[in-house]
Amino acid sequence: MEKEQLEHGLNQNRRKFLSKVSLGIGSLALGSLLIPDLFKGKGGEDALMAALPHFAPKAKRIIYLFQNGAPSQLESFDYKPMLNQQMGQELPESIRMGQRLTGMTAGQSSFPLVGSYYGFMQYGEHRAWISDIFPHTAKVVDDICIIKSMHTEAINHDPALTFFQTGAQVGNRPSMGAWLSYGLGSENNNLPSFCVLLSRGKGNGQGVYSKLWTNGFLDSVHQGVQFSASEDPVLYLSDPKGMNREDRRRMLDHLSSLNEVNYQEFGDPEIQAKIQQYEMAFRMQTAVPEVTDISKEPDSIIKMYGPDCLVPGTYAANCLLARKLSESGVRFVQLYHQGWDQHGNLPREMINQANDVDQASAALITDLKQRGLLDETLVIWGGEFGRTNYCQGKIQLDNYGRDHHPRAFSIWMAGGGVKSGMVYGETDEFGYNIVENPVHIHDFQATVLHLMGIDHERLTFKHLGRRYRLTDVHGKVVNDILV
Amino acid sequence: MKSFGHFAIILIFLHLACKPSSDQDIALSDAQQLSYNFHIRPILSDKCFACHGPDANKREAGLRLDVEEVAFGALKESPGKFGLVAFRPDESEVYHRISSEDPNEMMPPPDSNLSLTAEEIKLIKKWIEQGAVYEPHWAFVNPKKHDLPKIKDIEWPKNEIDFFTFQKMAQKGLKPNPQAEKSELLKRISLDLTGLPPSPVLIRRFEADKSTDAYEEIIDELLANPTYGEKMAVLWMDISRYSDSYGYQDDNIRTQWPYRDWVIHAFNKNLPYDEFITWQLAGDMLPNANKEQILATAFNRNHKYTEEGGVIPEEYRVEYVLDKTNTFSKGIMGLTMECAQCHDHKYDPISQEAYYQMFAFFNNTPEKGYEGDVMQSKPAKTPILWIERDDIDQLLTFINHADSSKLMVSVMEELDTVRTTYILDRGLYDGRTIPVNPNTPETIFEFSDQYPKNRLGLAQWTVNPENPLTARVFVNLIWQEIFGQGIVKSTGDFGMQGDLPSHPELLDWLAVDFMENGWDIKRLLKQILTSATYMQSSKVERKKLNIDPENIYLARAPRIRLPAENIRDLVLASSGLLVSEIGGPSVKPYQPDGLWEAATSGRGELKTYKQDKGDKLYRRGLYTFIKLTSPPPMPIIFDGSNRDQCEVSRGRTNTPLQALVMLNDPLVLEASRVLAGKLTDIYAEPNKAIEEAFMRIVGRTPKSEELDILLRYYNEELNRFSEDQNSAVDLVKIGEYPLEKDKITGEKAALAQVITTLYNLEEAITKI
Amino acid sequence: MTQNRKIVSFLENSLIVFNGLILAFVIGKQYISLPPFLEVFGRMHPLLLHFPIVLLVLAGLLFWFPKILDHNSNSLLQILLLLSLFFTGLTVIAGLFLSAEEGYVQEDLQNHQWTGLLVFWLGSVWYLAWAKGKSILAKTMSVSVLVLVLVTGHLGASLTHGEDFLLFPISSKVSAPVVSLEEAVAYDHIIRPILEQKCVSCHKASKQKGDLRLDEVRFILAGGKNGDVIDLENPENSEILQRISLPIEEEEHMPPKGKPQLTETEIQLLETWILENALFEKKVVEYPETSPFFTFANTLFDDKKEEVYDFDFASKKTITGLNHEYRVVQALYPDSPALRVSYFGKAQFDAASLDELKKINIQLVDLNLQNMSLKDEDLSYLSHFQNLKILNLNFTGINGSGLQHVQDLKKLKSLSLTGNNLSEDAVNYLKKLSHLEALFIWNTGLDNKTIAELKSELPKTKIETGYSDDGEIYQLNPPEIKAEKAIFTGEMEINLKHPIGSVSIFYTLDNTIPDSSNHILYEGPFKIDKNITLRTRAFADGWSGSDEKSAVFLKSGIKPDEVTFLQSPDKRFKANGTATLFDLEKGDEEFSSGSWLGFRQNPMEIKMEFNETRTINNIAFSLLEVGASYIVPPYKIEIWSTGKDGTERLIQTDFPEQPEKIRKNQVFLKEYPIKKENVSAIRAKLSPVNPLPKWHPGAGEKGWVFIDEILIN
Repeated sequence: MEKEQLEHGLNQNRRKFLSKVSLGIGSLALGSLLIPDLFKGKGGEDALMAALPHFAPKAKRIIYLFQNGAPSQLESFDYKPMLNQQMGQELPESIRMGQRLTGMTAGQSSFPLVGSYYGFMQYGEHRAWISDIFPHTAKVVDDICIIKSMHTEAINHDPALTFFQTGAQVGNRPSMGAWLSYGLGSENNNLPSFCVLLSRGKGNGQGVYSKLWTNGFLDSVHQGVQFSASEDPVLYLSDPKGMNREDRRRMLDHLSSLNEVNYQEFGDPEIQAKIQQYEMAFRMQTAVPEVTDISKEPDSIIKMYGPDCLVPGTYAANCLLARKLSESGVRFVQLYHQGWDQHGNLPREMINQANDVDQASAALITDLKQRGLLDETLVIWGGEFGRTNYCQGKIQLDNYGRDHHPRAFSIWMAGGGVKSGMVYGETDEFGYNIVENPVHIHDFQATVLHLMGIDHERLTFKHLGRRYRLTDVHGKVVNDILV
Repeated sequence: MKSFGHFAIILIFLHLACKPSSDQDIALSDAQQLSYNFHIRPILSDKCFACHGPDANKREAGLRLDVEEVAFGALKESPGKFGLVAFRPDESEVYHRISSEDPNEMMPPPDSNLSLTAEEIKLIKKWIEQGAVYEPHWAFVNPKKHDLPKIKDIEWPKNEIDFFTFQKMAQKGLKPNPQAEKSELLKRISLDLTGLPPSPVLIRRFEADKSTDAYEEIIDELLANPTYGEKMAVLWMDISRYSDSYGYQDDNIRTQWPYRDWVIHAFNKNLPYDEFITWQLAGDMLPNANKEQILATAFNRNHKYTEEGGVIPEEYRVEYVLDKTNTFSKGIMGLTMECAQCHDHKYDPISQEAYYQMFAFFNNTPEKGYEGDVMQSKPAKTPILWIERDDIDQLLTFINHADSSKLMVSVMEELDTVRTTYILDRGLYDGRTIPVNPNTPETIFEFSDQYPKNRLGLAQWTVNPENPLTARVFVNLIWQEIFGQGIVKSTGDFGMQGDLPSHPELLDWLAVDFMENGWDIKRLLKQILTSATYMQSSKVERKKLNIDPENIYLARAPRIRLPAENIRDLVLASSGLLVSEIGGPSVKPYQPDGLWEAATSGRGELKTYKQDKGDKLYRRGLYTFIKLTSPPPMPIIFDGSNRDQCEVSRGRTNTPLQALVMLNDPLVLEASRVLAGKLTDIYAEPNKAIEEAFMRIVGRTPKSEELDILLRYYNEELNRFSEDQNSAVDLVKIGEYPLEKDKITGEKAALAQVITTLYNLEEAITKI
Repeated sequence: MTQNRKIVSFLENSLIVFNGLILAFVIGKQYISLPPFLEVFGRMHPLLLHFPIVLLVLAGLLFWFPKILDHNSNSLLQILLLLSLFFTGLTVIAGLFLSAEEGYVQEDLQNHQWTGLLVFWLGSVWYLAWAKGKSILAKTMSVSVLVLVLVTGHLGASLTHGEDFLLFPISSKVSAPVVSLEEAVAYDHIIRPILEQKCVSCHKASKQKGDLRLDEVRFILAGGKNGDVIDLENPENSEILQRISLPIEEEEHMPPKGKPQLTETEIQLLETWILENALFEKKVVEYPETSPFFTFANTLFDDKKEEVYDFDFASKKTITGLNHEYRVVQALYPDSPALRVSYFGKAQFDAASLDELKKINIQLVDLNLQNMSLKDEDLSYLSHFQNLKILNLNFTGINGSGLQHVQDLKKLKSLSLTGNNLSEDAVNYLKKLSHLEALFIWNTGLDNKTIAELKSELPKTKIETGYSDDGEIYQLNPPEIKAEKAIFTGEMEINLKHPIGSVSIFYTLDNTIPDSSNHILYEGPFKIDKNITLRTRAFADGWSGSDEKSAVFLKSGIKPDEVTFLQSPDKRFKANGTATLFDLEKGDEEFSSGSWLGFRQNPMEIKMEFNETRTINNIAFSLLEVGASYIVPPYKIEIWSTGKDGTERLIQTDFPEQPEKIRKNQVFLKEYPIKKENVSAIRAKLSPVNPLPKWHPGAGEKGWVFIDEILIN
């Protein structure tokens, strides 16, 4: 009965609009959410319109599990027995080659190599090495592609994160999700096309910044919508107590008839655009709770993701939510999990971090796979840079730390057109320099866009006299890892 | 459903349909004599300069089309051929190449993803046929006061502005709209000058006052009102990227707010714009500078500062100087120079050298790149201005600081021994190449020798009447504030990639007039507000919509959604909740739970959001606390700047999230019930109460039609609440404003619902 | 009239002369050596040729439609024909001269030359036939001449502008080979197309940059002025490799900047092919599987494997008509006729709306109905979609008895049935779907036996059964503690919560670890009225017990009238001094939050005085432990009390037990009985550990004491 009522309201309004269509709406009305901005011929990019995506996309959606703080590659995916053998010995200058240091180790007189506190084992068809603190990830190793040769320029968290997400270390550029929303629009018009979910581990946190999901110079409709763990997953979403759906519907109907009166007088298309946005908001109010409701998930799901997935605001809960949003057509779901910055006390902190994310990350892969969604969903796991192969501070077998290391680190990707069960790139035996198939941040970004069917050189926006790109003037698609 | 699908798509196509024309419509017909500036350079700049422009490193085939001599010269690589040959398109290699179909020949080359439209090619051909005459860039030519254009309708104009606008309208076959209703005018000027809706008292007074100069008197009255300073400050906060925290990961608190108090004060006492700028750029260097002038220099210290452990100090010190340079060039010069920090500018004649010469002006402070992590964090960073109680009592009376504690503000200071500035390769702090001295791009306007080569000199250069940009840029900013878009649309880019002025002569006239009259900002505003152009009604005729969808030619007044801050102000003012205190530390009103907590690193004073109580909940939007890494959501949702860097114009989108804010933000709901409470106490019958509410919120008396709808809704709600008391109680319980439980009635609740609906009217938050 | 005849006769004569000349030149071409001025004449060929073309066409026109001009047009036609032949002659001669110069592809030239000659000769015949009134012959000639003119023109154009000049704008840039992998020849089908697209335009007969031609094998092998293009002895030195691998900024880089560049794959192909000895004749399949060239070449053919949809596009109108906010109909990607349809919004879903999709039953290849509530009979709607490839029916509530309707969808490749309780006959229908590539049946209630059967019935299908609970025991997450505040007056209610309803929550109030033997079972909110340390854990079968969650609750008591530090806190952690210690605000576990006071260089020593004497039962210190930050329990705690008489006695000395390792951060309570009447003042001294023990990373250095609250009762 509720449904009819809502439909009634909608139709009633729609009839009103239709009578006005002839007048034409020259605003963001639906444009913003129903179709990509490119289609609005923004910034003189009309040329691009017809051409997006530029070719058949492999992935339709992205879930990015960002490990904020930079997890150590040497305790996760980049196995370097040499470091255990040479425990405590100096890092040869021939290897370091003048790599700059952060202020934290710049003062350090020696750089003693330190090997992983945790053991490693080989898994899967390709016998990939994975450390013991990621047992669940190890189980899905044949579904993921581990890249051991990522590298960046930034050596501090803020610039590095910003670089990863916006393609520039500084400045207020649009983030990857905003670019995709701008380029591809939304699949489901009743949900934001770019959602952001935050969680914190027990480890040393580094903070996240709304700048990381900003729309930059793009329309603010492309801004990442930060979901919160509170009752209101989307800000201001729920109606106040004492007002149910019918009440809201009635209110909106009166509101739009008032706006209609005003439209009759002023004839400004913006007025109808406004009416539209209220209808969309109304739909969002049903769509979002429908998606975020985890009460109907089967028990096996709770076991897969771990019991924390029922605790709002945890990484596990966010992974589950990410799957639900993604399957409901959200283009880009961005998770941030804080606490990976182990400058000291690594053996104790890192295992906690791993416990927080390992099971749920793997569960997400399995879950997408068993629903037949993995092929069209790209999942990315990784941090903003790597960690040094030498110890920061006092070195002990069971207690050491690692400083920031931009030259080589590991991430993994899965699904959406990426080769599965692959290990790509190689570092030297010290795990310090890349010796094979380096992948720069811009290459990574180019590849992600490519998987979504977009040529990273053609997704541009003209702002203050310059055509901007996510990949600036760089970036090469890493063809080797594509299916 | 289906029909709606149709509708949606029709919308889109209509939208597309009306889009492209606007970008730059040059019908060949109306271009008897083509102008390089207005017709040709935009094309060259957009499609050719990247490889054949100012940037020496990226220049192809030694050809540059931005410099006449080179363009006409013989081509290095293909002897006997010339880039341009006047009057001879077919002999001009340029035309040959752009008209070629051969992918190996054609320009722009296929792999550039750029291409010229047939229209553009025709234009260039025609231009060459006409002799390919070059002109200097319009914005770098000193503005002259043109004579007012001759126009047919001599009745319409109220002041000079109108002559220029009318001429353009005529050219486009447009006629101005009739004058707007009195109520509309009042709402308009009240919002434009104070950012607040007119009070019912004022409305009635103005309606009653039939005298001819009633309108001007109100303007003067509003200009004299201190809320004027607050309104103007919003704009300047965006430009000076003001925030209450340091930004970057730990994002701890700082106290720059005394600078904001100063800006409000400066606008209110109508400090001439040239001084306003001089103080902010070099107040500390003025002969025996006082603390007020030094405080003004905080302008250059509002940017982000890192407190992340282990950064490399010089990397960030350089970053800070870059920000200062870019803010100055974008916010005051209206030039985007960022590009030149890594390489010669691709489009504007600003070499990397010129950029670092500009950089050098700001590179001479004792500022440090890093003063320790968040544990050592202080509310200001060196150089610091200490403000004692006495200062406030005597000189800095405008600073709203109650207790006796000292205040510290980050300000500017000059080193005695000059720090050498180097050109930084690719803009990297450690990529020092050749040293340079402070200087300004001579293409804009020469830096005379009698100026000292420091910030003071820069300030004098900036406000020199000969400077072609300063006045134009500011006048344009003000125009944008009032009409929604500048005469030059790209407010922050008067360079060659920027938009061309829609009314060049008007822009120049205003700029010169502004300078001739002592850079008097209030005068400028009054001038615009008393023009017939401004006083038109904002009704949108279909014909005009088709001819001029973006209202570039101003044959109607614009209808503009209010900026975020003023939406908040409207809700507070109309409901009587507003606490009209001026200045002081920023406040933390209601905000959805968990935003700061979810994003924080867990360090610093701002890791949890400690919402304020009492009066602080009801301050104007200008005073809302801005934590850079997690800015207040409401302003962001309404296109407010995130203050990450200098912004000179805001978007004006229209999204579902905005609808949700107006529907469910506790502030709106609280305001509704408070106002409802007040009105039900005064008026017995609902329609009177609703009329009053309508007056306060929308600024006019409702049409009977509207009143009917509202009454219908009122009665529906009244019935609902009479059956269901609890809902009524739940609805009025929202917000911390004291509420007498016993006085909760269905009437109050129903009226509150109606008022919420009023706040959600498109017209309520729109300047009509 | 006479004048007219003069012209005619002149033209007729010249016609004969030309015929003679031309014949001579053609025969004796190779012996001709031209004086410069004749070369110039030769070079006028491109200019002259326009006349005959136009004139011949006109002539043809007038010949076929004499009535165009109302009066008799014979004489005009005659002049026109002769004139055109005259110019044809001139052009041909000029052409012959020009051809004597070097640098043209011979056979291209030959063709052009002969067609040109034919135009002239047949043209002559045409004139004769016409003059002699042999209309049939004349007609045939006229036609062939006109055709030949076009052919010649095109050949000529190709000569100067390059083969594909005329058709370039429409000929698509094919990079995928036209033949199948099996028949593909390395050079012909892989390498040459690349060269033709990216190199030949500048390295061909008509435009031999660097004296190099790449349009034919022999020229390639011949090389250019910079020597061998391909060095067969040691391929890695091949000029071409050097050039293409240079960075684009380099002068030497090929293709030159601005020209269409080689793509990644094209470069890889060229490189690998050359490095593998540039074998022109070898077939791709003859290369070893492992050879890099093969792998790259192979990928080209992969692209061709990608599904091509040859059916028509649905009209934009139809598509937009079907689109609304709960149903998105979109092309797989622009310029693909194939459509994907997704439904959103359970509440708004109406199965009947599937019927509307009939309009696109051809184009619909991907249908997503997950989470929409369907009945099995609704599946009958799907039977129309014969091109359906991907069908997602996850969690639609069907039991699969309706799956018979998808049996005839022969194109169906992927079917997702996750989350539906499938019935017997569902399985039977599935068994018949042998053409399926992927089948998703996680959480469909099928037992292993049935699944095994299914797998054997559908050998070619990848059957995804998804996660199965392997009985592994996972740990529960700890309960949540809910209480109004950490410091209370009088009494306070405490709630314990756990996201999984079914667990049992154990807790203790005596600072002992709750477990199966030692615990209080939580049965609902309970009240506390004194300082307590609450520790709680969750238990449930099928799970291992949770970690513990603990909290300290303090009862606010007597506030001293005068508080003074005898030894003051570290300046970085002094919060609001003594005020903080009695502000009834509990600090969290974050020591830098400003609600903690820290002591390191000196002990915390504090004096608390009362205006009139009080009875004191106990005193409690709320302390912090963050081992990693050197914050550990005090080494020693001493308490003195001053009685009425003003004399101070030491009443308590305690050495709190120290951790042996870095423990979980915790806020903990140290509570001591005092049990004294008429107390006028209390002095407390908490001494930091110094030095930190061996095991600690900061061994040897001073430890910290952190305190945020003192409670006296």
